[in-house]
Order: sequence, then C-alpha cells, then structure tokens
Amino acid sequence: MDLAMYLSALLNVLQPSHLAVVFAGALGGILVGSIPGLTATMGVALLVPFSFGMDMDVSIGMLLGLYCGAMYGGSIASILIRTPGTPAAAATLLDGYPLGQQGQGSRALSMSLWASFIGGVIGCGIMTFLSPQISKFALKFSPAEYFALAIFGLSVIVSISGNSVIKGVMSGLFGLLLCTIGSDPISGYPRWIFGNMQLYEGPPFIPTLIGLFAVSEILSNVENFSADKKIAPEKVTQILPTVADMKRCFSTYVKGGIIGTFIGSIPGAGGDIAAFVSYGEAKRSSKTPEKFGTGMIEGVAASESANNGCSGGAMIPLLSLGVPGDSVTAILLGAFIIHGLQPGPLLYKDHMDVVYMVFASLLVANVAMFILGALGVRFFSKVISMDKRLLLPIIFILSMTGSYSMRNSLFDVFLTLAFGVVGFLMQRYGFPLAPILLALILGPMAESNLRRFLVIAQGDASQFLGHPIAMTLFTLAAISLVLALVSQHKTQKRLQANTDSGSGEE
Amino acid sequence: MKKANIVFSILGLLLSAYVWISSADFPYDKIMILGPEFFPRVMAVAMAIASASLLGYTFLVGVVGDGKSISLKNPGIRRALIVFLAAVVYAVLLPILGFIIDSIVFMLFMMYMLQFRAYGKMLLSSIVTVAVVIFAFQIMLQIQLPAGILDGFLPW
Repeated sequence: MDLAMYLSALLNVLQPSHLAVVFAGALGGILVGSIPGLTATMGVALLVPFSFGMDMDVSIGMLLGLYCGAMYGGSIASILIRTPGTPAAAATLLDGYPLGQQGQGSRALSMSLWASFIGGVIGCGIMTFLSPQISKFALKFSPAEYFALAIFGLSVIVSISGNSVIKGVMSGLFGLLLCTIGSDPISGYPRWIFGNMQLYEGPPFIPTLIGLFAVSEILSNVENFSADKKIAPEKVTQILPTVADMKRCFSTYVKGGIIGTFIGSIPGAGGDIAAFVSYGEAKRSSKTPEKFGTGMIEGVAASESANNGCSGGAMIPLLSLGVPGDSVTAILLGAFIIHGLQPGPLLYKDHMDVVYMVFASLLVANVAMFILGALGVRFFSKVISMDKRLLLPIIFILSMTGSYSMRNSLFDVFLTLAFGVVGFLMQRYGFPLAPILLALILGPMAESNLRRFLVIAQGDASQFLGHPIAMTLFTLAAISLVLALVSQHKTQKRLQANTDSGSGEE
Repeated sequence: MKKANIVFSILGLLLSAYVWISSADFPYDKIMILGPEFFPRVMAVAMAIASASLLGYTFLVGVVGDGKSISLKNPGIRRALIVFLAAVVYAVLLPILGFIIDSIVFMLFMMYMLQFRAYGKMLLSSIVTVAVVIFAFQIMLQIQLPAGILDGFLPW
C-alpha cells in the first residue's frame, strides 16, 4: 500500500469538476435504484456510452457513484412501498416496510443510509488493503463451494418462516420449483415453458418480485382500506440514525459490511445473496430473533450494509484478476477496456495509479451517496404518510411500468398480476412470502452448481468431503438450521405461555 | 383456516405429483448422468413431504400457523377483486389504448374505488404520475412504452 499514491489519487478525485461528476452519478444511481424495474446494472449500462468521451478517471468515478447510489436507492422503494428497487434490496423490505408502516419510515431510511455507507466504506477499505489475498481465496470456489453457499443462504428459510415452519418451508419449496421453470442450466432443455419462449429464462425476477410483494400489498391495502385510517405524518427530526440505534446495530452493520465484501468478491454471488446471508446472521445472533420480520432495525442494517459492502467486494476480482464479481462490474470491465485498460494482475504491475484512482473514487462515491441520501431522507419519508387513495394507484402504475420495462414485454405485466394474486392468497392463508424470495435468488445457484459438481464427481456425493470450505458452509447451515428450529420452538412455547396466562387472568 | 390448510396441502401434493410425472418425459442425458429432471424431482419429493406434514399436523394437532379466510360477502374482498379485474383489463388494453390513456383511466378508476371524490385532484395526480413515468422511462432511459392509439401523435 503506497499511501502517498493513494492520497494523490484521492486529491485528484476531490477536484471540483471530478467531484461534481461523482455526485451526479450517485444522484442518478439513487433515482435509478429507487424506481422498481430499473437496476444498478441497467443504470451503469446506460451511462457507459456517455462516459466514452470523458477522461477515464472521471468516467470511472461517475460509474462508481451510480453503482453505490443504486445499491442504496433500492432500499428506498423496499421501505416505502414494499417493492425492492433493485434485487439487492429484497431483504431490506422484510423489516424496512413494517418499520415504515409503524410510522418509523425515516428511522428505517436513515439506518438504511448509514448502514449502506458503513458497509460501502468497509468494502472499500477491504478492497484497498486486501484485494490480492481475497481474490486468491475467492478463486478457490468451485461448484461444490457455490452449492454449499446457496444451501447456507437457504438455511435462513426456517428463521424467516414466521409462525409456521412447515408453511415457510412449503413457500421456499414453491420458490425453488418456480426456479426450475425455463431452460435447464446444464443441457439447456426447456422445462415447463409450454411453448412460450418468454419463459425460456424462467420467470423474470423483477416482475415476479413486484407481483408477489407490491401487487399483493396493493390488493391487501385495497381490501382493508378505510378512508379514516391513515398513517400519521411522521415528524422527521433527524436525517441520521440516533446514537442509540447506531450503537444497537454497530456489530450488525460491521458484520454485514464484511459479509457483503466477502460474498461480493466471489464471482457470480451478488448483493442480493450477501444481503440475505447477512440478514440470516443478524437474526441468528439476535437475542430476539422472533421479532425479525416485524420491524427490527437490525434487519435493515444487516441487509443494507451487506449489499453496499458488495460494491467493494465485487471490484476485488475485477481489478486483481480481470474477472467481474457481478453484472455491474462486468459492465465496468467494458468501461475499462473502452479506455484502453485491461484489468487483471498486470494492472497492479503497470498501472497502480489507476488502481489507486479506483480505490479513491469508490470511497468518494460512498461519501457522495451518503450526503445525497441524507438530504433525501426528509423527502422520501413523506411518501409513507401520503393519502393512500392517491398513493396506491401511483404504486400500481409504477409497478406495472417496472415490470413491462425489464423486457418491454406485456407478458411480464400479466405475470406480475398473476403473482400478485398468488402472493395475496398465500399471505392471506399464513404462507410467508420471504422464503419464496430467498428461493428465487438462491435456487438457480443451488441447482446449477449441484449438477455441475455431481457431473464432475460422476455422481459421487461423498466427494463433498474433499472440499473443506464447502463442508464448513454445510456445517454452518446445519447449525443455523438447528438453532433456528430451537429458537422457533422456544418462541412458540413463550407465546403459548403468555396466551395461557392472559386467558387465566381473565 | 383448517379447510385452507387442507386445500393448500392437497395443492402441494398435486404439484409434486405433476412435477414428478411430467419430468419423466425430459430427455435422458447419457454423458451428464443427471438430467434436467433431477433437481425438480428432488424439490417435488421435499414438497410432497412438507405438504403431507401440513396435512397430518392439521388433522392430528389442529390448525397450523395463522391466516384469514376469504369470503365474497366481505366488501373489502369484493373491492380488491374489482380492482384486480380492472388491472387485468388495464393490461389487456395497454397495447390498444397506449400507456398514457390507459394509465390515466385506470388511476381515476382506482381512486374512485377507494372513495376519492376530489375530481380535480384525481385528474391532476393521474396526469402528473403518467408524465413523470414517461419522462423517466421513455425520455431519459429510452424505454419504449406502448403508444397505442396515440402512435404517430407523440413527439418521441
């Protein structure tokens, strides 16, 4: 680590003209991220042609600003309208939305911002100091480890199942079966597409998500609507979390940042997976795990710190190996190549100035996201207290446009409506939706890597024993599963005891 | 709730059976050993076990989990059903009427269903929402939204 070179790069990024572009990128990112249907990948892809005529350091700064902004922006829609703006913000809605509905929208938004910032800075710090070491470790991930990582993530299903583990597991399995629609990941054989090529890649993720969460929530709100029932306008007294909340969530967002950076550094595992693994870890280590899903601020901190930590993590294999960690860094790789640079080991040898410029730009991009996000908290939190008679139709139109715009497909709009009904009915009958979400994210990763591993191992599953990282992850998954079941059992007993004593007093 | 649990358990069992039977037609892969039916079948077995457990628990222990029943006598359910049907009509008419007209009409209808009667505000908020969406998606991001009957009249 050459500190003088790093400071020189930082000073270069802090020049007003450069800084303005990074801020513009972060603002664009927050807007893109907060609109359901527009992802960070889409935003960065749209911006790359604009960056062509700029200096490389300026253009990379702008793209990184957009990347960081979009990762945070996704949480805004999750908290306000129960629709993740980006897939990476899917876990945020589990506790963010209930907090908003309890009149604590600004608390959730400010924690989301703070955790995103801390997660981003942790990711940035780890990237700056440990890139080569982490990338070597990440390269040890073979299909066995990827499958084990997916299983570790899926073990969270039990703990996010709400009041009934069986119903949670059924929801998760339904999600895993949904993932099997479309082309087989190994042979390409189309499964259950009924001649409809729009299903060849499986049910599209964003329209499915919008249907399950946003449309079902709209229907539920329409059903329970009462002109007199309103969420009281929240008095926003601060744009940052309280010191008490910061202290309470300290270990959660630090752990989330580290988890996010590590998972981000594994090629193919993005912010959505990192957020769920971090959420599961926060729930596992909480003294009140049963309160997760009902509006726990730690839930927001865990998922947001992890998905923003991912932005630094995903840059690690990109810079040190030339392998993009996720779809956004794949586009960033293109931006580097446009400017005549090939990321990889030689970048560290021949262009250390560029490497330090990326480190400095990512740090400044996180600061820009933080400042702009803080300015917006007051404005965003007003959305929740808007008259529902106006808000629900607006959310509906945004949801439909978001679904349509992913592939310019009317089929996706119908699919969204169908999943809206499925989500409405499932919730109505006590089947939690969160396990489906988790299954949709981790299912394809689990299936393709299990199949790949078994093909390589010629069907011999005992070869998993020769993969220590995979075995560690399996063990952690088993422990977390047992702990979640025990905790669920204790909670049920406690609730039962409370009910009995309550009825006894009567 | 007991009835709903039984219905969902049976649906789960039927889904498992369907996945198992229909995946029998998937091609056998000599080289890969495990074909496209492998993962769905594993999930189908797991789903059958979970569904049977829910069924067994419901009969032996009683109601599992929480939830509310649905009845068309409930005015809220009727309202939700009407809004959903209107949403389907919205989707069907989207390519015909175009995004602008279809969205404004749908928003006005939904607001009316939610007992909003300030017609000026209704119209204004519908037009502003559609304008913002058009600006963000169509003009800024170049995502084509259906023009419908306005095709040829729009400046973009």
